[in-house]
Amino acid sequence: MRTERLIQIGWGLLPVGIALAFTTIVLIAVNAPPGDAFGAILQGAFGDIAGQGILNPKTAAVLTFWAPLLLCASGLLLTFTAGLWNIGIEGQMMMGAVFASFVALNLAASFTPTDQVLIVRATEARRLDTEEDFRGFPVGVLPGTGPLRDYDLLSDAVEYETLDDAIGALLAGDVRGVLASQSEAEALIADNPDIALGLDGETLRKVSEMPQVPLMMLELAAAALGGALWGALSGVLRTHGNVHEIFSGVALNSLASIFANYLIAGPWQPPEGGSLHSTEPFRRVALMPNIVLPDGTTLDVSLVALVMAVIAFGLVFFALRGTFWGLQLKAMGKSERSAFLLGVPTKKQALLAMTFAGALAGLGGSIRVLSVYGSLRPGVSGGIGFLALLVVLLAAVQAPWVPLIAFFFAAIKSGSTRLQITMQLHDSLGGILQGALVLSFILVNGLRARLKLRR
Amino acid sequence: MDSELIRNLASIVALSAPLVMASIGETITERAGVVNLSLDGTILLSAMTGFVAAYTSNNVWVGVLAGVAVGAVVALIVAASSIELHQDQVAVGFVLTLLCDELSAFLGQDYTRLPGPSVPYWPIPFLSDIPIIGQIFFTHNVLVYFSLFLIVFVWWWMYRTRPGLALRGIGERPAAAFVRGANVNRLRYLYTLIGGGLVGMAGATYSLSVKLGWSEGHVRGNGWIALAIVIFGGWHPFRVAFGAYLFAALRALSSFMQQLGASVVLVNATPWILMILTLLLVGSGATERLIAISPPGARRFLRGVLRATPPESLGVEFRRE
Repeated sequence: MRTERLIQIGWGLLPVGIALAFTTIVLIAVNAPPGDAFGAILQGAFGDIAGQGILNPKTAAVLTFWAPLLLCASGLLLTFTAGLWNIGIEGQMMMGAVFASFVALNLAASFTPTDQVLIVRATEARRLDTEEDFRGFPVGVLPGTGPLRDYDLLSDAVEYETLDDAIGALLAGDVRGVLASQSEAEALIADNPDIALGLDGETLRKVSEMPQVPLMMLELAAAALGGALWGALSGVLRTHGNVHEIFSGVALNSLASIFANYLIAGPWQPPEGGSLHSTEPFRRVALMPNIVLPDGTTLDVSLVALVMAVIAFGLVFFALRGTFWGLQLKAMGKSERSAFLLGVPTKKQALLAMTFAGALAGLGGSIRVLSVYGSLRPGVSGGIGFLALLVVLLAAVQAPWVPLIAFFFAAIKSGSTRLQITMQLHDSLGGILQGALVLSFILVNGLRARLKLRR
Repeated sequence: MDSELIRNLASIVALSAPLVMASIGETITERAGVVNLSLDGTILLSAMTGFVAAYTSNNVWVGVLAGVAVGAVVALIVAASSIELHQDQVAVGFVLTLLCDELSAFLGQDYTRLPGPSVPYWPIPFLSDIPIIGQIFFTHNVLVYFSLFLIVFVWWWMYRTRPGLALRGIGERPAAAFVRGANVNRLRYLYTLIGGGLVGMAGATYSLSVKLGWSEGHVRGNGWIALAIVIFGGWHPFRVAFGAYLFAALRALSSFMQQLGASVVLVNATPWILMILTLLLVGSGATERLIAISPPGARRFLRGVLRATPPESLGVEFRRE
């Protein structure tokens, strides 16, 4: 009995051994010390647990990978169970990120022109003509001028009793500008040739931000919608166009990423011009808040992301285990034709599974833009969708294993980013380890079944 | 014909060479009843290996052979995992796609953007002097000629020889082929390896003839396109080749449109939109409807040209009962 158990554990560990051996050979092939490389991955994934505790910046980074990975893997549990190869998950994530970014960029804040203007020194008037020029510099205001943060980029206010005091301070160089009403400013500028108009009321917009909770709800809803649309498109092509979901998925992945790149480099560029590698950073209010520990340190991982992932997994787990829908998906996975003959509306259920998977992947994409990067960038999905496919394959489509394997893979992915920094090795090593692990798992499974059959 | 058009056609023939090799290779594999889904990764890995082998040995043919070997080894894994271990070909193929992609990035990291050798230009004497035809087809390098030869040879092998009949048989009705004396699984190994070798050669052709050199992921996506072309081509060598050329021509057209001012987004998106549309055309039954409404005399011909049904036992393993 005991040897039987040992043999079973041995079979379970064999794929890990093969994957490690294969990765070691690959490392030796590029003349890199394997021990150091594996050490760097571990160190990169978990950091100094003994010194800094389990929740340290490194493990926070792992959790930040884990949340979208678990969301995607949960969605894939649905599609795999129904016998669908949802390779388009990567693009569904991307579209979720794009839709969430749209809300974050456009709805987080609204701007209205004001009747207030900024007066500056006449010698500087030509140079100071955007809000950006005043960021971080003190500005003179009068008592009773509303909270300065309403004016978006103005941050540092110095209060003066009268306008004349403020102008004096401006001319003395204590402040960079003075906030005044349109009419007062016109009168002053007409009298005093040393001062001029800096920003008019159109440029100096008053900003009002949307409250955080409804904004976050909108962002997440948009993300789910974007992913669901992309998933449903792949589903419709399969159910009504007879195009295999692998091919539509691959094409839609590329199209999603081309679309995102187009938005980043084109229509979503700020009018004054920005970077081709990212949109403007989102406003703080649009971001998922990070976890703050009791001792006051902030971890770069968001509770919203973690809770969302856990709930999604729980729902999928329940749907597959305890609902009629889950049963129908399972029947389709065994044989779509038999399920259809037994009265399962296979087209509808396949479409639903694809749409739900897309929605969950879209939420995963929202984490990437709203928590990890704080802006939309090319390749923001970062291969997490494909990684989720590997996770579910390694779990042999068994839901209980998925969170654990997802964590393990998130650790490898997060840890291997350190390879680049410490050893100048390409971070694809993590992907090699993961791929080799899943491949050897599949092959060892086959081998085991074959040996059992022979005996 | 004006010379610019001839030059463009000639360049399409040259640029399509790897796509032709890969899609004809996959046609052979799938005709034998095996799906090798790993094409996108295999092409990247063999492009990298082919370039590095040619670069370090300073001999392009060593590079080509290395590419072929990589393709064959990957195909061997697909074949063995299906035939010996009864595992899902799609799952194995997909994992290999990702694994080979990552391997090419990692193992090729020190060889990116290096100037390296390329397959020498060699116009065929006499043949290249034929007006128009000669200029389009016979003013290239040996790999391009091989891609042309491959189309005709594979067609001849499949439809005009006895072993070719067996090849089609093991993909359609393996049990019947077995009864007639074909060793189904051994032949599946053979044709999967040959198909994989051709895919590997396609990779080497990219880095040594079409898109010279190596950089991470520089020919990513072409493997998926080759897989789609096999379906579009209805698993028939001539139609598959036609698909590859059509694809290259449309791509050339879209980059020509870019010179005229069309957006780069359109050019990037074209291959993928084409992929979906062509598969939709084949899958939605539009061709069947076209055949049905055509005059009776043309039906037989159209059916032969347009029909696209996959080999009946594609992806189904064969076990002797």
